[in-house]
Amino acid sequence: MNLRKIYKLGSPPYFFKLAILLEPWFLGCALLLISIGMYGGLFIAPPDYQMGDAYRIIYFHVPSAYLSMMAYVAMAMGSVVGLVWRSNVAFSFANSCAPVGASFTFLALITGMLWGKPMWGSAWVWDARLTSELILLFLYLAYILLYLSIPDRSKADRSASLFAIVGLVNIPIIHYSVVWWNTLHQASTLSRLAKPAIASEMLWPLMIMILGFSLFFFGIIMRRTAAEIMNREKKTRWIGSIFSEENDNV
Amino acid sequence: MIDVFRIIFLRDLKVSLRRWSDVFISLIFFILVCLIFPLTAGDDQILLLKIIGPVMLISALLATLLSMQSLFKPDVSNGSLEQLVISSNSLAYVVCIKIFCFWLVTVLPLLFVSGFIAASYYVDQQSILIVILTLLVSTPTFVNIAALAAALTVGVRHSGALMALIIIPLTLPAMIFGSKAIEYSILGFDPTAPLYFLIGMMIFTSTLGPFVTAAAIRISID
Amino acid sequence: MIKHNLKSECLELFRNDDLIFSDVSFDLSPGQHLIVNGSNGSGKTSLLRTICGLTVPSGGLLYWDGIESQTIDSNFYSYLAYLGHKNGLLAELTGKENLEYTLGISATEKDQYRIIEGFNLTEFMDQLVVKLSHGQQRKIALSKIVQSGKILWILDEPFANLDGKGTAFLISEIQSHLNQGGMLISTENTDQPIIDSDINFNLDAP
Repeated sequence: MNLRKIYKLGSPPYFFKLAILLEPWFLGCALLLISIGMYGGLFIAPPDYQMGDAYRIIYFHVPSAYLSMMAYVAMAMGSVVGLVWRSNVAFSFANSCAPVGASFTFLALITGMLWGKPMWGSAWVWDARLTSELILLFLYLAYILLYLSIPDRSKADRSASLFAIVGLVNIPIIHYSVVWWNTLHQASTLSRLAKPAIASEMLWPLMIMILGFSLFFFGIIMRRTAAEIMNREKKTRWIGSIFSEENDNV
Repeated sequence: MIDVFRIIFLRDLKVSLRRWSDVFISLIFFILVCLIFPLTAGDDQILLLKIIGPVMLISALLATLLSMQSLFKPDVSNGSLEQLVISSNSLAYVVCIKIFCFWLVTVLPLLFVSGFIAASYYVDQQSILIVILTLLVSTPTFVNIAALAAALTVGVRHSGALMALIIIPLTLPAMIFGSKAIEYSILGFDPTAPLYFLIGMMIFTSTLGPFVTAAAIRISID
Repeated sequence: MIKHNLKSECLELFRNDDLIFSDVSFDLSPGQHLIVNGSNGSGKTSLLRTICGLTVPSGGLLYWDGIESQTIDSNFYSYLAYLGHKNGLLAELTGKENLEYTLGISATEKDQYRIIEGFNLTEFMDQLVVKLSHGQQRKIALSKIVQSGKILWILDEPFANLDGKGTAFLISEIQSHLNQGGMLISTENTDQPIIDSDINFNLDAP
């Protein structure tokens, strides 16, 4: 493990250039994987014997839900790094994760509702997993609103980061809610140790979609973080030189 | 350590008792919110027995939210919180004492009244004790999380709504278990399991809460 | 007797991309008085708050007795008494109760009485702080500092709002504090400092 490289990530110019470089690769691979996954999920995978074709929304619902939790964990990790090392890059990263994570949570809830109507007969049920996912949406909104309502940026960063870390306690609750409470939402489809309870032709498009969504998430985060760094460092020389280079090239 | 406890505790106690109108307001608020439900929902015994748990807990949470704004805001504006931050005592310990004093002065009266309100909701005597016990063990969780929210939003305008947005997701597990405990007791089942969860959450938030709140105060005072 | 020492290295503060102050370095020994000069808004209060540790600096370090003041090994706060713009008094308590419930007062009863007398506050100590005038409240806050027995005093515009007698008494207390080996950091608005300083910082200088 090259620790030097990791410390370099904390330097705004280095991270900025890395992010701008990596972003098209992430998004390109994401596009490719999502296309493959969608083709596999919508056309190749057989219809479910209970739900027919209606189950295919799983290919959007499960990746969104997975990403919503992963985005929060990424945000919390960025917050920890930001608080401990007082790093602008880490705070920019955490701030970028918040709206994206909120969008994925919203998407997960909407696709869940679209699926719930034909499957359970009702778009919304007050079951443990749905409620805790809704709570996750509120946690993201609280983070964003807390950050926006404090005028001093360094204070806003640190307060919101502290809140993000405290809210981390909700993630295990969401994940294990289907285990702890026996309510309507089905049990986890994918588990690390057990054999998946799903046919393999249905499984691989799902894995590809999850991977594709994750790469899409990282691509978006790279761009947003780079934009936030640009905003924070707007008075420094290295940002000025990037823009004057571009002007020269144009 | 005992000296610090004595001084901070007596000081906060005196100040709270001189601001007794604040305490009274949150008590009246609690009673009013609890009474709105039977007044508007009608005299339906089955319905009232079903909603007493959530109603009690939500009213307690809202009353805590209401009076929590006066825990840190005045101290920041008159500079006494700054002095506590730069004293050589542990800020977490001082915050713990302040939260404890707040709980005694603001929440304890709610516990006294809750018994009577539960009786007006047709709850039987055995369950009234469980209602009071549930409030007793869930309110420290509310108070600690509300203190964290108050510390995070100290300089913000309209902090009430933002505090609610911060508090509600974090206290939801406590509220769920609390209403489960009251529901089990009213139905005649054994409420000990949810009560144990509540006690566990109370211990968790009361021990870790002051540290996180102290960190939040340090950030807000900047 | 340990010889205490406050040293700062290149303290720097940014707020929302604006530079407040930079390159503030000094070495303060017992008996010395440091004055921070500057017009309104030049960052004097921010500098004092940074030294106290209330505001986290964007760069630079502060050492008390050779140990960084913000680390857990440091006993900086056992020796510090700070008075900012706000008085730190609880409005619902009387002056006497405010002093009674203060942590870290180490003056003897006789001394406390002398200081209250010197600030002309004896008749007012039993009134609620909220009923006193701003000047009287300021005097109570100052008497808290004077009674604290701490070595390092950091006072933000100590002579503001004080009447003639109060000013004279404060000057004499500060002189005896410095003579006994205390240290003082204060801010002044004017070019003519009321008490002579050993080190002078002007934050207006480019």
